[in-house]
Amino acid sequence: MTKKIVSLILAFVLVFGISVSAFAATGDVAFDKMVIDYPDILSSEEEAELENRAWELTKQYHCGVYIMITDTLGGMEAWEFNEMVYDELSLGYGSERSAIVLLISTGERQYDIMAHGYGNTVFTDYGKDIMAERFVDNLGNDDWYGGFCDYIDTCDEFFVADLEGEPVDVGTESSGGIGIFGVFIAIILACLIAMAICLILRSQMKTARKATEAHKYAKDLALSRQYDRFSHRDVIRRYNPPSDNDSGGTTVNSGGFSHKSGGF
Amino acid sequence: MATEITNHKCPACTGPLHFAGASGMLECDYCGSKFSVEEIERLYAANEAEAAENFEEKEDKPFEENGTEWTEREAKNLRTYSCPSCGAELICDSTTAATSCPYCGNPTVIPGQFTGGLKPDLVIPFRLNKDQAIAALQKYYSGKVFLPNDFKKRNHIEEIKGIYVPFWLCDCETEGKALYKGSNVRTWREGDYDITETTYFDVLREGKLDFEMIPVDASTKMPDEHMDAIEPFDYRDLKPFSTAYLPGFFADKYDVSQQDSMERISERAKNSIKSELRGTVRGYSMVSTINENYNFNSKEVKYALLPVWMLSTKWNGENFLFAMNGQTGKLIGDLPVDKKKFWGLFGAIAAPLAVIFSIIAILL
Repeated sequence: MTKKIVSLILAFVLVFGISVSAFAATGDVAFDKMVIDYPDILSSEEEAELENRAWELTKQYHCGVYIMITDTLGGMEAWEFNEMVYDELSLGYGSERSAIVLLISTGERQYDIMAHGYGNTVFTDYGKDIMAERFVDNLGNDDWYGGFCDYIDTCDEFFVADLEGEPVDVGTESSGGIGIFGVFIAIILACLIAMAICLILRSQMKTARKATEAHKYAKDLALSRQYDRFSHRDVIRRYNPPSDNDSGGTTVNSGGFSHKSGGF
Repeated sequence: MATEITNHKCPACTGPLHFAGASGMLECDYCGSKFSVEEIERLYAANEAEAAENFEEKEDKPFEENGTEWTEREAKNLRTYSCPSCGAELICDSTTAATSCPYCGNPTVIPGQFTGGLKPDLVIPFRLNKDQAIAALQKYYSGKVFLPNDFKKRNHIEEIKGIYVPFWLCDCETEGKALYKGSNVRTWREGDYDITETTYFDVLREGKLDFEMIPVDASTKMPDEHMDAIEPFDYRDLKPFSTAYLPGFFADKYDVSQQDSMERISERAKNSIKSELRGTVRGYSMVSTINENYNFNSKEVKYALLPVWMLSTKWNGENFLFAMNGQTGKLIGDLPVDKKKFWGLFGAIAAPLAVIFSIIAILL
């Protein structure tokens, strides 16, 4: 198994390793091929477009933005494969080797989002959840290009949020969607208040009503018998472990990587 | 001339007398003399007894149909009387007990409607007059934001009548027994588990609630909604019945029997004990009723005439009826709603609120 994995990664290196020589050209990026499409699922135009956009982000935010596509994980977990490729190809930007890498396997239909260095600051656990939600539906429909565009767009958005001092995390708005939802709720609330006021004023127009009670003519209630007896008790125990995302931030492993994996 | 109706004439000038709520006396429209109810009762006791006797004799005589205009049913519910002042023929329905002559305007009373078992026990005299009723209606219109502008401008009071409405005042008692299930919920966390504990209690309440003089109108002519809504009357003003309070107002005898009124009284009394018992169940986050049983027993029932001003107006071909408590001045009645004003105000409130809330939502 190990041989197979090593050969798979070597294949990556052989096919794309030529670019490693470009290290001298860019200075801060050891591996300047931002999109690796091993099973060739993207057209050359699509790949070029994604490559350009990823490279622009990498230069602008000093954090490598990568898309890795393979047809098999060779029996490895997606996050393991991603870390190995990252190491073998020396991915990342600058001395910290900052990166955000989206790895997908078309064979196992698994993905892994991996961040390192500055990438761990920008792409929190919560942020990676949001990011995954945006592209998983496209990948599930084999809309590869659409999914990768969503990924690149989200990277751009999250870099901007971090530069503005508030990386996307628990308790922050990650997109206009939540803002629009808030406005929608605000409009509904305003309508409910207005309707309540109008109905109260309208009720003053209809004052002829049949009486249903006779409290005005009642004397004091005389209770002849009363008790409050304990009957029984129901106890329900619900397993509810604390969520990793409850407190926000990024969970980083011993290798300095953070991950979000799943299927599509 | 023997007649079954009387009118109370001023002993000083023979002008017609009417009861004035403000002074609580009978006043002469012409010379301004005032007489107490007791004085007039003494003077007219003999006249009323004679009128009542004549009324009883006439009771057996059917209404004489002189043409084809009246159906048999209509004729059965009509009575004719001769006005003691001008001799004109008055046509009233069978429950009318006090009215005024449409020709000479003199207030007339038909004492026979209140004799024997039909005699009311009590009466609350009018305290407020016609002008006060009109003023109250104008005040009622003010502050009603959805009232069409046109309604106030073009609206004219079509008819205004001070009526002594027959009511049954029922003393009664209710007994009730209700079993509830009360529950309290407590939640806490133990390790990775959320614990919800619900404690249930069987709750019993049994008791008795007495009522004093629940009123129910005993006239089919009066809408129940209007009569209920002008409650309460101040029973401290209740007086033993005398026809001397009637001149100047309309009055009807009852045409809904005690028996038929009991259902409404019973329903109101049972609803009251139900909510009173429920009100004693406290200290639970949730209470549901398991079973309940309520019994109603009527005790003494009194027959009373209570003062009501009825005002009717017409607008856009539709009639609007208002009732004012002739003692307390409480006025009720349904008004038309201008839909444009309704939705206009809705928009005027909703739009700025939506903007403010949206800004807050965006900033948060």
